[in-house]
Amino acid sequence: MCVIFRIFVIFFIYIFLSISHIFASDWQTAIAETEALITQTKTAGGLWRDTEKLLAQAKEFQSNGNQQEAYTFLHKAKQQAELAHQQATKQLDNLLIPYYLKH
Amino acid sequence: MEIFVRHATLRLPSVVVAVSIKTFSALLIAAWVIQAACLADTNIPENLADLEKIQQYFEDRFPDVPKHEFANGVYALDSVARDNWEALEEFPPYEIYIDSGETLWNQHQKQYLECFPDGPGIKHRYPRWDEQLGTVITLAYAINLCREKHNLATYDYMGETLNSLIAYMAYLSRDKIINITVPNKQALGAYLDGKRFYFSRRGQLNFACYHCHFENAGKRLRTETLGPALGQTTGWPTYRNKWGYLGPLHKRYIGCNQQVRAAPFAPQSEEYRNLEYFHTHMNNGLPINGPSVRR
Ligand code: HEC
Repeated sequence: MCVIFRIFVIFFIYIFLSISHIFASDWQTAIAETEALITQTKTAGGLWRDTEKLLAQAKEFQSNGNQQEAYTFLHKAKQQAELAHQQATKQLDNLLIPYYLKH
Repeated sequence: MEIFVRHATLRLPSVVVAVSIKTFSALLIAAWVIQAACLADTNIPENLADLEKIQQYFEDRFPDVPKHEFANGVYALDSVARDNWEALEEFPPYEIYIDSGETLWNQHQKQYLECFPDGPGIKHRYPRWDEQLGTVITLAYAINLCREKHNLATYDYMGETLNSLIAYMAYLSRDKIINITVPNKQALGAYLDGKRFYFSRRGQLNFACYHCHFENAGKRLRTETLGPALGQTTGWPTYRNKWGYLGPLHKRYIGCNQQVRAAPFAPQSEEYRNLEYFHTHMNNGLPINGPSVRR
């Protein structure tokens, strides 16, 4: 049963990642996408320390009309969210249990 | 800016994005739950053999350190830091907290004795699995549940009051031997959750607790020697010079998460309670020696 569900998880992640870029067409959707990734990563318990801060800073720059900085920070936040999500999902199958604790 | 405008022609309404993201998240969460169930569906004694294996690992790594010494954390390994620490222990900064903890206990002794009929010296029995609530109960959590039951205001988990009370309880539990049980498969699920936490890489620095407190125990990280995982839960609450007050184990969890740039969890969150369950189970056989003082 575990194997089937793992295959499912990997399949959905693959589908999601392979189509996700088509959503990223403007500020709103890029924000939505980053927020969704953050939520998922949180659910998996693997959020990084500064990601939400970066996103908040991006929004602040946007509301102050500083587009360039806004996108720079959003890009950083999105990149962190992606890496954290990858890291968290990887722990499912590649947990670092050392040989001396294997049963 | 470029990266977000590559596919302007394929722009989809944000409703579609929201819906597909929601579906995806729901599927992922479902898979997670089933995954956890898969892990829990394993043999209890086999999993709890972790205890002997972990203790054996540290005994082999540090053959000169007697087992009970692991309860002193990093001071079992670093003789210079130990000198310093022994000097601090002569006039321990946690003493005043024990006194105010006693006053706090006496103030509501009647209520506390209803919840803890064996009296205050019961730190060695926590955390424990609660059958009715279906969750891991730490001593801090149990105290607040008890206060809630008796219509007393609950305490702040990070605050001085609760930790003073626990310091008093820990003090009366000194030298009592830790004996954490994992009574059933549901409890094993929580234990395995905590174990997964300890061995998961997290944060931008991509470290697990395991990297610092197993593989690199005894080695130096900047100015600090890394303490072994074994014995890390025996001495709480702890007066840390760096904090300047007496804090709980979960404050340390938060600090150790943040230093690898991982987002911390709330004190007494399910994640940290499960972590404490696994983390304390490995110390079965060691004595309680809290409250303690650390750098
Ligand atoms: C980058 C290395 C690093 C990582 C990763 C790390 N810690 Fe620590 N931890 C330290 C250092 C340094 C100290 C202070 C020295 C000592 O007591 O080991 C410490 C201390 C502690 C202490 C206090 C021990 C005592 O005797 O007072 C606990 C408990 C602890 N860590 C738990 C954890 C947990 C749980 C994790 C995983 C969430 C973790 N640590 C991850 C570096 C790390």
